[in-house]
Amino acid sequence: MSRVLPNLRYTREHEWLLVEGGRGRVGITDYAQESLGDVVYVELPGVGDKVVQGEPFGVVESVKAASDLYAPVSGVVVEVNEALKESPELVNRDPYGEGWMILVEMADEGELEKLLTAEEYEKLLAGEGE
Amino acid sequence: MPEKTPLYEEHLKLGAKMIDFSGYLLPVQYTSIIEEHLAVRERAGVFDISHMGEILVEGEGAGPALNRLLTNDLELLFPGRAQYTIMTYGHGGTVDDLIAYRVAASAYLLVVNAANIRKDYAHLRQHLPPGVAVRDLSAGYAGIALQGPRSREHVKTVLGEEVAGLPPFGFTFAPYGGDEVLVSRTGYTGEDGFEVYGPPGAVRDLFRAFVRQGVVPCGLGARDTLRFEAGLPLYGHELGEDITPVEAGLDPFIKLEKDFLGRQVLLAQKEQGTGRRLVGLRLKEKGVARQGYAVWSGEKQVGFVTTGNYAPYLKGYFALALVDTPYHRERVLAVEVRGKRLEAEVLPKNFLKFFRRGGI
Repeated sequence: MSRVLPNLRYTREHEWLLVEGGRGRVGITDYAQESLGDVVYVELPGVGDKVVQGEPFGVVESVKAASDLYAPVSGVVVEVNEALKESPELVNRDPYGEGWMILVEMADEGELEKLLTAEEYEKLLAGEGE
Repeated sequence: MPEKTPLYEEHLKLGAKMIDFSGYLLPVQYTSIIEEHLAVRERAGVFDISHMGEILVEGEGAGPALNRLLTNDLELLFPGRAQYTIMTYGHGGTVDDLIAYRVAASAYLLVVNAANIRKDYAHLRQHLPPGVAVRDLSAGYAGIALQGPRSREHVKTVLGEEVAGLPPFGFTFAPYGGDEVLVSRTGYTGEDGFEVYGPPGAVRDLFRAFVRQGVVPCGLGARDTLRFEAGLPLYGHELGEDITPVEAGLDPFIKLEKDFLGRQVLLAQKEQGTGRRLVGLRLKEKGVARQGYAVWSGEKQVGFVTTGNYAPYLKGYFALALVDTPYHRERVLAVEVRGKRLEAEVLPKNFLKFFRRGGI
């Protein structure tokens, strides 16, 4: 059973968002890392790049497959998890912690309404056979 | 509906993630592809290979007739020996690559790729004389592969010293649990190892016995990364109906001094050069090249990736690619990964051997 944290917001594509004031920290969920298997490369935008809600902002590659990463919110990237360059396996080991990917200065907090709550995300997983 | 192998229940008990592979439900991984990969390189791992096809060709004249359909030379095989060989069409393209076991003076067991069983059977039936029997025994055979530097010890414990002492590509029929299994010193990982084929019950018991001894169960994910790291071809990637074994660089297994279907084309390719050749690539930057990605030399597209991945033991990003001649001789090419061209060093295909000899 994959872990879902109550304090996060989620996308249907299995990204999570942690609201930290006007910023949002982004990563992929435990379910996502489990489905992907061993992560061997993560391609992320640079600091200062813009991301748009619902659009790809990077790619996560596992031994099995490549998978696009979708931005949970729009905004400007203010920080990137540099540790993933050398240690992409952090995404598997600690998807909600050390495996975070980008920190975004949110452009429109109203967009949060479009994200799933933990409860809704759990339902989505139940539908996917989790 | 995909078929379950005789080891299906074992896989579920071991917590495997199952997938449909060529019509068979098989584990892609149990815990992690990388962990399983490293277990085989450093210790020992065991794979379910029950999906592989087993076709028996026997009868008077079976040897010479079959030899006319295969690139390697069956005459070099005395009973008790197996060989890697390739079955080609008249146009030189590949029907399948397989292991041929000479199980009796005039009987050969061919172990073929799961996806090609029917096609191979039809091809053999079509080209062999009526006096030679061709029988598809796949449904009655289960199979496992025990691979890794410690396989020998495990085989010794479970099957005895004699079996453990088989030479490379040697095989024997060993008694086990009231049945008989075929054991060979073969594999598909670049490591020492054994493959076992036989009745489902006996093979299942053997699988259990190896796992009880601490051998790591390994899935198809690791099977693929292991063979890739060792530069071993996979049908559908490095070989296919439109890829000849000469293009794939399998020259040691092509005996042009004997006659076989497709020989003229392979001989011409060998003498005049092929239009393209399989090469090994090591990406200088991080990124995963996947099958079909374009390979560039300057502003010219000169080929495409047949397999690419992260190599867990070598801890780098590698690819196998079919590259137009003469660009295959260049030292550096580029692989296009999602719109970005990443520089890649051209290397021998067997990355593992190259590395172990101190090349990287």
